Amino acid sequence: MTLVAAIVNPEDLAKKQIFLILVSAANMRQRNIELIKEISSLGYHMIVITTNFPYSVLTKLYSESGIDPKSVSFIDTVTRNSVGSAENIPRVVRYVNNPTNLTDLGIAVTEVLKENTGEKVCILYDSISTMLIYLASPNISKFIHFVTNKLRLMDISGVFLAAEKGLDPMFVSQLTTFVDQVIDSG
Amino acid sequence: MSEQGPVSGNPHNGGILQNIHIASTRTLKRTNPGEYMTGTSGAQSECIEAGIMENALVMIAVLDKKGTIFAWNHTAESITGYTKAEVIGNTNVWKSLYPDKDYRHNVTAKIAEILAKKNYFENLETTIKTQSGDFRIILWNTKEILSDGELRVIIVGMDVTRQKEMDAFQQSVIDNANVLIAVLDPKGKVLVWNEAAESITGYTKDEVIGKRDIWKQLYPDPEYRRTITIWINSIIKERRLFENLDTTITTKKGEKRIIRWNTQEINTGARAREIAIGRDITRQRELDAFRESVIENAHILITVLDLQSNVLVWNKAAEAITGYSKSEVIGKHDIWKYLYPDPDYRRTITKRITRIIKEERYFENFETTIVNKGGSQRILSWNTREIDEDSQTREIAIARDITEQRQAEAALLAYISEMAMRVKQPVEIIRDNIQETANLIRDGKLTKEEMVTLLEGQVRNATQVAANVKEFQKMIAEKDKEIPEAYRKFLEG
Repeated sequence: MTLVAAIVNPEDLAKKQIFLILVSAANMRQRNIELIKEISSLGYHMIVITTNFPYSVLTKLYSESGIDPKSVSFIDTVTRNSVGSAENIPRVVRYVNNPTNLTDLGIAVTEVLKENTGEKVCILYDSISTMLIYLASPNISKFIHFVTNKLRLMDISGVFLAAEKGLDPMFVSQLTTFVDQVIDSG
Repeated sequence: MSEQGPVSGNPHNGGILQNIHIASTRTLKRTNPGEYMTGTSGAQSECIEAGIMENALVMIAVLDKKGTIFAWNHTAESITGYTKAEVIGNTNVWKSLYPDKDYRHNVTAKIAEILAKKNYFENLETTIKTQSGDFRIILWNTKEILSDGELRVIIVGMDVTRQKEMDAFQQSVIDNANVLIAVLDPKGKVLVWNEAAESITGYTKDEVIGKRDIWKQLYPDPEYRRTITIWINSIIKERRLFENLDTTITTKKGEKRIIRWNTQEINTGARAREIAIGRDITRQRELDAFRESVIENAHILITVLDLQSNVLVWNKAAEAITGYSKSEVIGKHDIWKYLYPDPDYRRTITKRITRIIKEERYFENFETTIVNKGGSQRILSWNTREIDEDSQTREIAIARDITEQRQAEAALLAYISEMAMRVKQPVEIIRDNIQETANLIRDGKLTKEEMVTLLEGQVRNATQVAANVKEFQKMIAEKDKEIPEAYRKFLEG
């Protein structure tokens, strides 16, 4: 609880707020695990959209960190891109062919949220910085806008991770208009 | 030959020969050469007449049939430098006055030729050499008289050297003037037509002098000639002269030349003369037209203001950039209110302009944002200079529309920022992912398949970053129009 309290205020989370959390690139994975652990401990079902590590590896890392695998489901944009095919596992993992396919990604988000309708859900997007490899910032902005709109419509809280340095101030400025809080967690 | 002789009304000697005749007739009777001045007659009237001859402002000599000089007045002494004592009673002075044998023979032959026809000559011009070695031009007139049965010749010589020099100088000034000079008599006959007139019009003196039809040749189009004639007549009716009247003449070669005329009337009556001076301003007009064309067609806004800020010049670019036409702007000073409709902004830039002009009298690359007639904003970069034209101070303002440049710079900056972001962050992420993968492998936490998935993922990421960089280079190579040239060179280099 300490860390969560230090990064994301549970009360704000309870208000279904949306957060942009800026992390140093080297701490990105660690911060991911810490946030999942702490937010899930607050009774939230975490939906992790991963653009970096595959579902299989993240599951291991979460388990090692004492995170109940049942409290997390994934939208995995990495695995199919590498191994070619992978079957979706309802309420556990949904694969998207590659992170540039924002339409599929949007559909996946919608469906996963539907699967967890009625639950106390928090979505974690890891990470905006990785998406910059494949997409121009205006396209990313549009997608984040789409997702945040969906979260607000469905009354769901969300956390977006991004590397704290090297983001264009104009891009950061756009992102801040979509979220409730920007937290620099270092 | 009558007693009065042909010289009685000669304007050059003023009929002086007649008086000299009387004086010499009376004075010289009963005298020997050189004695007349002693006045042996004793008569007072004779002394007066002798005094007239002595003090006449022309050179007077009296000769006998053999050429022996009987009288040699004071002016003759002062012009030639030879005294009475040297001259009277002999015939030697003529050799001294004409020392060049050939010239002397020529003069003698000419005199003989004249005297063979009539026993006098008038206005014979010769050049004498004075005792001091100077040359003087003398205009000679003679008259024969009988005195006590003796034939005497009175010679009057007028020194016209100065007048000749003046005439030559005047002619030289007229001929060498770089303006067309024509002198006309009251009937319009051309009396003077200088070299510039010849070179400008192509018509020589021979073709023009003494005639009246040059104007028909210079203005061959009857309609144009009629227009000009009416125009000139109306001016002359009011002022008897005209100044800076521009007309277009057609030269002998058929070329058109623009002449700026000024006229002056001299003398009156039959001796009245009209001096017409024409300056060829064709080149000046061409330059003016060229300058106007340059200003008019420049791709930058050019405006000229007087000291009251009234707009005097507003070129095509000014119209295009602002949307305001010449007719809306020229002669007015309120265009700035339209271009800067926001009073606060207008006040701010006015203050800045006033401060800059106070300090430096001009400004360079001063950027303002105008609102054009269509309501769009344009960014202009202004440069001004104070100019003096026709002894009037004016302000020339030149403005470059840098809106696109500024937009392109902003676009380029955004593009560079985007590219920097899309290279730096991903590379850091790839680095950290690989490091993390290595840690997981070292800790034995990954299956072979997971290792492959993670590493291949990073390979894909790296490949995409490389593709992004390539796209950036391609954009430069294709010279994307949004990237200003200066930046493109910087990026390429």
